Amino acid sequence: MWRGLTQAGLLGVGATLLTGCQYQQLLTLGDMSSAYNREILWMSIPAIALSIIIFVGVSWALFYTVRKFREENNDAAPAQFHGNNRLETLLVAVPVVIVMLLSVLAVRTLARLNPVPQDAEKIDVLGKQFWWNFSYPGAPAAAGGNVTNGNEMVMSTGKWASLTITSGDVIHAFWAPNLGGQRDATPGTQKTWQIQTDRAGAYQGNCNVLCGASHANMRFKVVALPPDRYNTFLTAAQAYRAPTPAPGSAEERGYNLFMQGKPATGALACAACHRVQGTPAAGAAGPDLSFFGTRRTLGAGMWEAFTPQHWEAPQAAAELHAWIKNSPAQKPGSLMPPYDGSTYTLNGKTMKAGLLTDAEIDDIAAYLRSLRLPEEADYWRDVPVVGSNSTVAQGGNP
Amino acid sequence: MTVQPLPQTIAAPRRGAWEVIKDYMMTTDHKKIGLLYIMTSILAFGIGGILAVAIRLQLALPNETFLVGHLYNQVLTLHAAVMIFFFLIPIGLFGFGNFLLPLQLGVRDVALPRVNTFAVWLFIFSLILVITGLWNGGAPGVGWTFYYPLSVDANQTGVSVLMVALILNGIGSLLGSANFAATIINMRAPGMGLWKMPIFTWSIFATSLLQLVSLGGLTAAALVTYLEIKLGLSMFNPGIGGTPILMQQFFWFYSHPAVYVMLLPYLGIAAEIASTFARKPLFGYRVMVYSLLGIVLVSLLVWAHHMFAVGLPESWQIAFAVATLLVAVPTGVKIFNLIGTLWGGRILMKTPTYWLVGFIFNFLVGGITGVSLGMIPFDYQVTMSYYVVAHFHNVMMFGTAFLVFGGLAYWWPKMTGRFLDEKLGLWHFWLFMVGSWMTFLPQYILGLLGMPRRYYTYPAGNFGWTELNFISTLGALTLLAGGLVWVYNMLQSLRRPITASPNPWGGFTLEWTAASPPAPYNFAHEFPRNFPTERPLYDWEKNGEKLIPVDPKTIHLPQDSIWPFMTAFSLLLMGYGLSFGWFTNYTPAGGLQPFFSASPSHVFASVVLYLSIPLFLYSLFKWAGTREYAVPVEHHHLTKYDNGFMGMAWFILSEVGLFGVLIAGYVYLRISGHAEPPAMRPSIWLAALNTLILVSSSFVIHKAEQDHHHGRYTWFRLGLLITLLLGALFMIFQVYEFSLFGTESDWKQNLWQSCFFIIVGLHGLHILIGGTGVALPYYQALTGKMDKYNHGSTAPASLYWHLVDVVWLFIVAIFYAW
Repeated sequence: MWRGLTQAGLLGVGATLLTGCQYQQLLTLGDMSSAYNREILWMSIPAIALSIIIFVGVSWALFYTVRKFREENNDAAPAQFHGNNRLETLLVAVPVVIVMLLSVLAVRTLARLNPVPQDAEKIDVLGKQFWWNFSYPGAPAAAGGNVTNGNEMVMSTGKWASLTITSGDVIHAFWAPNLGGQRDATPGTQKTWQIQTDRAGAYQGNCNVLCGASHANMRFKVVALPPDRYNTFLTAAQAYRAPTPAPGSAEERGYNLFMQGKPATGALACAACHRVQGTPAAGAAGPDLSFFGTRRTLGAGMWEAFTPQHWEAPQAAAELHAWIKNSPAQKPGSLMPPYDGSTYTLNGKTMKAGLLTDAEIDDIAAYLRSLRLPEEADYWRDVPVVGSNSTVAQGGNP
Repeated sequence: MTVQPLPQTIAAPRRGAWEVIKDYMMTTDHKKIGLLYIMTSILAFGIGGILAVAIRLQLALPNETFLVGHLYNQVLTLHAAVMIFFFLIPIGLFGFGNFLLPLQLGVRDVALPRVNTFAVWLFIFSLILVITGLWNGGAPGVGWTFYYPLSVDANQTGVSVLMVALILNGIGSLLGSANFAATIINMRAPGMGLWKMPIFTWSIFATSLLQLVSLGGLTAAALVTYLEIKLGLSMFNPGIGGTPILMQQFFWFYSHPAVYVMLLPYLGIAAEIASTFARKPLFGYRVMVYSLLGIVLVSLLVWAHHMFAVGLPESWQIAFAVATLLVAVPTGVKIFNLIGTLWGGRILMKTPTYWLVGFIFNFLVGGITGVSLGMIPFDYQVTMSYYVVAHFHNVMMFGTAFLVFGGLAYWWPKMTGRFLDEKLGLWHFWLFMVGSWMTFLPQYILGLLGMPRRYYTYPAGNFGWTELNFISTLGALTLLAGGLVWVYNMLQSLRRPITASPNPWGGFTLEWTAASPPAPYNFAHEFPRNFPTERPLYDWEKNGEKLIPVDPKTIHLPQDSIWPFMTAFSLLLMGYGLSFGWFTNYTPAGGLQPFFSASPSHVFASVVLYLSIPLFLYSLFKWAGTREYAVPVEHHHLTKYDNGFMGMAWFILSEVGLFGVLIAGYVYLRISGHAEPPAMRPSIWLAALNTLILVSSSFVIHKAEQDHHHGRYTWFRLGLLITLLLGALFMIFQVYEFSLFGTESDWKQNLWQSCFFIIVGLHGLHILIGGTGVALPYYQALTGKMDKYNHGSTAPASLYWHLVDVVWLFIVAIFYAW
């Protein structure tokens, strides 16, 4: 009963562990920078106290009884009594009182947490197999549509972010443990959720309802920025138009492949599924790529590029290349078709993939890398990565 | 097996394997059936356990590649489905239940022995059916919860076979539950009142009730999912206005109570062990029974707590949260009373006692963390994380499963006549105790550290994840070692000679008066008719009352029959056909195609489906044509209703549940404005005519029953024939109406039409089932199997027919008149 006694244990274990590492590295609902988690802690303290009392009391009673009355210690013929009405009434009444108390606690906390805060920043969340789009209904882009980013959500510190969550295919769930709570993304319906933190940082987010082969690879980052930097980001993102590549450059060749594909070898256009703000690319079947060059994660959190060279770093560049070339081979169940001419199965149908040369794939990568917000709007600049003891790129593994 | 010779155990020659298998196929003996459930469940536990170890090996370190993506999802789905539906639910309720319930009630068998044979084989075949999925595309990878729309995702495998297997398993399970309920109401030893029944029997009664009321939810979820895959009929598809969450409502309406199906029988086992090994009466027997019934009631009102993160209206969430917390009260009472039972006793510390004490301690922690999950804001944080994984393993794996081991150790001498080795038993216990905590305590912490469940991989470098996952895997290997010790212990024991006396532990309930293992007729004695408390053996010894010897030669038992087995087998074939084939080559995406243009496996399965139908009917009629007893016997039952009627009456509870769930779903979709009838819809006039036909048929069959009662057999036969003809007429109109409506508009595009076909179609299927049911006594009457003493299956068939009629009246109201 009565609340995570394990959580109490965790606080102890956590305190010990914390001596060896920094608090901000803890990836957990114990992150007290979030108003949501603070509210839960307030609710939890009496509950944990009750849990400990009950756990200690009942297990003491159990072990005391077994010790005192085991045959080795008690060879008297046992009294054949059938119960004790007064005691039994008490043993029903006490849990009833505790349950009532806990109900009041839970409902009170719920009432404080569930209403949408008035000045909350609205963000629309769309989950699909196996990626996320975060768009800002209050921030229309000059180039049309709303500011949208794939797999990385930027929010302001100190202010509630009010999320409207939905799904484009199966059920997913949005969960960023440090920021408070989760909500399912259900197709055909929109649900709201609120998260908040006081501390700037990049936080881990997870899809939390089994959604298919790459459920474990449907992660996202929430980057919380101080209000002024957040505003800078949003203003720049609204004004943003994808840069026009220089004639004859690799980026330009990549741009052309991105927009038109290569019909001669059956390679589909990236633009059919992806949107890039300020270009004709307006596909909605895949994540938004408008700020791809600014992003530090690939494949919905499968790879991270936290070195100073970002996607130019050899390892990250190799990952990006492999990803474009054959995405399902890198990420199980990925719905992006391969570009290596292989045969692949999708939705029960076996198909032949289009073919791009390695040089062509590199051209597309070069174009993607060029899709960057201005330097001052780079939301990753000087942001600590919370919950991970490393800020360098992680080796992904298919 | 009509007239029993002397106990066969004395000099039974060693039988060949085929003889033994044939015996188990044909047996009606509740003990053999119980052992079949237990053996199958232990096998399933082994399969599920190995899958669990595979999961832990994949997660031992970050970025492993042992089980990736869909393969991992298949393993986790099978692990959960096998553990839940083929181990924890059946072994307690049906394994221990079948073996012990008649023994504890002091009777010779359950109310409907042949239905029991049918049910156990249906259970075994549903496990086999799930396994056939492995070479028909693969196992399902949707989780045992098969949430919509992942379940109909085009990249999924094996979902239809899981749906069919769950429905078949469900039918077996309901028949078993109805059988128990009928046995308890109709067949206790003379003098044993309901309030003098052993607590384990009460727990089986409570669990059976819960199954009967709630299982319809799972059947509804599985059926609608299946129909969408095969025919495109949907109540959940958001594309046509359906609600995916409705599937979760259906599913959890059963699957939360299922948690208590996986708890209550074990609470009964715990109480029996506590009382026997403390050598004391139960502390507060009546309170314990009330808390069992209290759990049944409250557990039906908490299902939505699995769905807090969905974002249901707040008033719903609060109501379900309070109900969830409230479950702690009767559950707490159980724990207090178990400790109270031990208090003041002279506790014999044997293996069963260790499992009991281990259970109480573990369950206490599982209960506390369970209550924490009822506190919604905390639930929002940790639901679907490893915290939840640890919690439900805490209450099941190292909660109730501990009592599977404890119960087996306790009744092992009764079941086999031998003892399990104490030393090995303690090794098993301590390996499981340590292994469980090593496996799952890290998982609690992982949940709080933000690790989601059902992730096949995780990145390196997340705080604490790598270390905790590694410890958890070491724990799983410890559990594997414990499991091997257990299996070794059981196999070793079976090689030893039979030495157990009837009552080796000094138990107080009637099963301890039978031989160990019991003779086929259970008791070579009758009991005194005086039951002062739930511990008759203690009371009788104190009062000096003696058992009354009976000559086993005068005992008659039901005769063996292969036909229940064959009927179940034909359903396995039918299930195979329905899973991997269909009556035609129809797919929702491709429409109707020529039959032989389908894949060979589809054609094969469809042919199997067609062949299974005559086999099913043949077996069923042969079964109905074989008398239960070879010689006329006087059936005694405690109520004025015969066992067939009683069993059917309980079974009907489950039909009410099934239609109730589906109709509630439809009414919700209709009221919320999602399901609007198309302009062209089936006319009320044909429905009114059909109502007239069906209602008249109800009167006719009632009259036929009266005729049989008064010995007017010709009129009786005529009445049944007219009932059948009226049923056929109804079906003809119904088929006409369906064909017309199916061509008028597209059911894949209209939610109302989809609901209509699902629910009215399910009723049509019930007409077919009910019609077959009525045909059975007609066949029995034609072949002279009925007379003054043999009523055949008239009463249950007629009762079922009335049910089908009543459901039709509801359907007319909500689909034709509304």
